This record gives sequence, C-alpha cells and structure tokens, in this order.
Amino acid sequence: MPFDVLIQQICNGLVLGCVYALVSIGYTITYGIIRLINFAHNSIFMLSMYFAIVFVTMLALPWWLGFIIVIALTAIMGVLTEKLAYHRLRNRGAPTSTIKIAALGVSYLIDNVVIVIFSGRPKQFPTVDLLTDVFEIGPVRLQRTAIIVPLVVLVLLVGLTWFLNHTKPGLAMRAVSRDMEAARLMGIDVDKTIAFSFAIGSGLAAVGAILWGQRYTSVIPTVGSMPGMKSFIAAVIGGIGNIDGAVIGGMLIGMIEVMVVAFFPALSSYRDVFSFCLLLIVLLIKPTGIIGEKVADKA
Amino acid sequence: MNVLETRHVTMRFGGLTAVDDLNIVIEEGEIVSLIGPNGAGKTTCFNVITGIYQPTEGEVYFYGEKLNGKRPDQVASIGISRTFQNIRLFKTMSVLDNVMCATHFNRRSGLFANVLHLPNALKEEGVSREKAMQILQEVGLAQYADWKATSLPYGMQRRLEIARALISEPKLLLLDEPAAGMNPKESDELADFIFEIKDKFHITVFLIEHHMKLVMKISDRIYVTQYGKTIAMGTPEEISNNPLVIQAYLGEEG
Repeated sequence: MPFDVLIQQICNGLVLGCVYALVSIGYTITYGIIRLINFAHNSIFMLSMYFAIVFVTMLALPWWLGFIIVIALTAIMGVLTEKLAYHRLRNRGAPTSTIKIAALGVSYLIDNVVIVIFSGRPKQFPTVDLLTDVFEIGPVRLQRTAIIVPLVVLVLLVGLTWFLNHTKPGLAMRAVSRDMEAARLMGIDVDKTIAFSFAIGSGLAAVGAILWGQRYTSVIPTVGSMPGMKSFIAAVIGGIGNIDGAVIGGMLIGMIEVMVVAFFPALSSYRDVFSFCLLLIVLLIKPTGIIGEKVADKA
Repeated sequence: MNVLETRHVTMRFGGLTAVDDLNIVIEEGEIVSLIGPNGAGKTTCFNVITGIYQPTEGEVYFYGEKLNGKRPDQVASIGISRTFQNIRLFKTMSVLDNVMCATHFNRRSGLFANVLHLPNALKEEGVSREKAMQILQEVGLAQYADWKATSLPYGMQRRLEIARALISEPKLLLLDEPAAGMNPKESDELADFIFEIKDKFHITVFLIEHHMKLVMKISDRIYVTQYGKTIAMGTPEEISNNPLVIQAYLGEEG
C-alpha cells in the first residue's frame, strides 16, 4: 500500500475510533452508575443528527450556535429518558432487566417519532467547510476532520477526566457508581447525580453524531444503529463501566474496521463482521474486557 | 434536648415484624447502645432512622424535626451520619476521595450551578479537600490519603468509614457494629477512638454492637431488643444485672 494511502487510512481509523469512543462513554457511564445497558443511546445519537438538521439546515442558525444547541438539547433528551422512564421504574423497585427492556422501548419510541416527523427518506447532514476542507501535507491529502476530531475528543476526554476527579459532582458520580445506597447515606443526591450522568453521556453522543455527520452525511432514522452498536461493543471490549476502557475499545474498533477494509478490499462488505468477531474473541479471552474489573451486577 | 426520639416505631416486612413498637430517646452528648441477638431488628432500626425504610407505624424525630418521609440523602444532610456493619467504603477510590465525597457543600448550589460556576466549584473543591485532610489528620489517617481505600488494613478501614461519616458535621453518629471482626486490642482502641471523636466533634453516638466489653465500657445507656421488641433499658450496670437480658443472651438456664 502506498505511504500516502496508509496515512490516510490511519487518520480515517482514528476519526472513526474517536467517534466510537465518544458514543461508548455514554454506554459505559450509565452501566457504571445504574448497571443499565442503555439500548436507547443509539436513538439519542440519531436524534441529535436530526436536531442538527433542524437547527442548522432548516432554521439556518450559524453552525457553531446550532451545534451548541444540538448538544444541549440532546443532553436534555437523555435526562428526559432517565426521568420519564428509568427513574420511575427504579423507584418502584423494578429489576435491571425490566429497565433494559424499557430502554429498548424508549429506543423504538424515539425512532418511530422521528420517522413520523421526518419520514424515512435520507436527509443531508449540515456539514461545515471549516471541518471538512481538504488539506495536503506533501503527497498526503487529508480532510481537516483528521486533525480536528482527535483534538476535540482529546479535549473532551481530558475535561471529563478532570471533572470526575476534581469536582464534587464528578466525585458524587464515582461514589454512586461504587455503592449507590452508601452514597445516598453520605448525603449525595443520587437521582440528581444519575440524571447528570445521562446528560454527560448524551451530550458526548451528540458531539460524536455531529462529527460522524461530517463524514457520513446521509441521515436516516436508523442512522444510529450501526455506530451505536459498534460503540456498545467498544464499551464491552474495553471493559464496560470503565471510561478509559471505552476509549481504548472505541479506538480499537475504529482502527480495525478501517484497516481491514484498507488491506483486504475484497472483504469490505464484511467490515462490520470484524467488529463483532473482535468482541467475541475479547470476551472469550477476558470476559471483563480489556481493562475491566469484575463488578457485582447489583439488582 | 432530645437528639433522637422514636415513637412507637414498627417496621413490618410482609408478615415479619422486624421492629415492634420501638421507643428510644437519646439525649445530646450521650453514647447509647442498642444490643440484642442476631435478627433482633437492630440494623432495621438504623435503616428506618436513616430513611432507607419508611416505618410501617410510628414516627422518628431528630431534634424535634420529624424524619418520616425524608430521603436518605436529606436525612444525612440534616445531621445524621452512619457507618455500616459490613464496611461499605467506595472501593477503588482513594482514602481522601472517600471522605471528600461526603462533604455537603452542594446544599446551596445545584449540580449544574456547580459546574457552570467553575471558579466557585474550584473553590469549594479546595475547601472540601482541606477539610477532608483535616479530618483524616484527626483520625490518624492523613499519611494514607492517596492510598486506595481497600488497601488499608481492616481496623483502619473502620476508622476511614467513621471519618467519612464525620466530615458532613453530623450531630448524631450511628455506628453499626463498629467492632465487628476486631481483636480485643483493636476494640479497646476503638472505644478510646469513639470517646475521642465524641468530644472533638461534639456529637451524640448511637451504636449497635455485639461486643459486650466495648458496649459496657462506652455506653451511657443501653437498649436491649429481642425479636423486634425492646426488653430492657438502663445503664450498663442495670443491664448486666437484668434477669430478662441474661435470659435473652444465655437462654433459660442462665
């Protein structure tokens, strides 16, 4: 493979991995805190793409303002799913399996509302030239996303890590994920903390969706399912409940997906298969994921 | 002033009455113990006081304020802290973080406010770190601040749990079997430690304990329960001479 193509592919893998990493953090946070595999997370991802179409394309807001609104609104939607569905079930002592099924229900609900409102026909995601312009370093031609996406993700990850380690709400999130009842007895407002973690997870998914949309511009109501599934796999491979693990898993999945296609073009229609195979292999070798630890599945 | 008062508190789980007509009064500055055989409903009593369970009947008052209907985090933030029978530290978090997360600065500002007003949040974080270090200093754990909580030896984990309970400046400290699993020397140290923090932090202490030597040494008064019912109350001397108590502990022949 020529050198310039290899560099391009590495960058592609990096960008894809970054997006998976952002989305998988949402899965891992909700699992870490309330042991919920949030099946609605991919719908939240999809929803934010439609929000972007509404605010940036239809209402013609400046892209940066539009995207800020999209991120905030998506975070609020994440909190709403928690408040309207999961929180109520939890309060009535529903077992986690019930809440997982509810998450599936929430996912279908969001998907179908979007279909009703926007129809199933593909829409164009509002791309931003500032992000998608191509530049050249010697023989290598790259889209600006190759630089900007990893930078954005890096900043967000550093910010998130700092937040978790150095602020009271961050500390509360870690405490709740360790022992919810003990945290409550130490005076931590557990419900608020859980809602906050949904806001963070959904907000990051929105950033992921916006970055994803710069590359894959066609938006349909099922647009979230594949990246959502891959990100979930990334979270599991990395060790679900663990944020570093989610990032490592995301990068791994993104990179492998791109590289398989780059080196074996004949297999390109099997690209998704590799992610799932990787999942099975990792789980067989290390069931808790790459840097996961054994956590009790608290009911 | 009565710090804690339970009036006719009854807790039923289906057909099982775990706590039956419990009437406890604890005055400011006292150390009061609740003893009784396993399954006597002692921990259930703590769970009712701290708001984990709402009592089936009866009321709980804290400095005259009714606790019924309050959530555990609300009970904690008005001044009741507790430790657990089986130590429940936040594993994998550092000793310092364990203590810090129980500070209640966020009573004033909401979660979002906390994040949006970054300078304020930073200041609060600094203050609570300082306060946590101070508490660790006073319980003799300062040099382990960066250790993982679970890497501390057992006795120190107990101490850390108490430190975590103290940082929210409680008026009442509930200790659920603090001497469980301790050897005689450790439990002697624990007794001194409880006296020490009681004076230093001006708190009232209510504890559940099986370790009779400890109970007799530190308690001002003792309540004895059996099958959810209170069978005796009095000073350590009164309790150790009470025939009902001797019978409950040693059986009929005793």
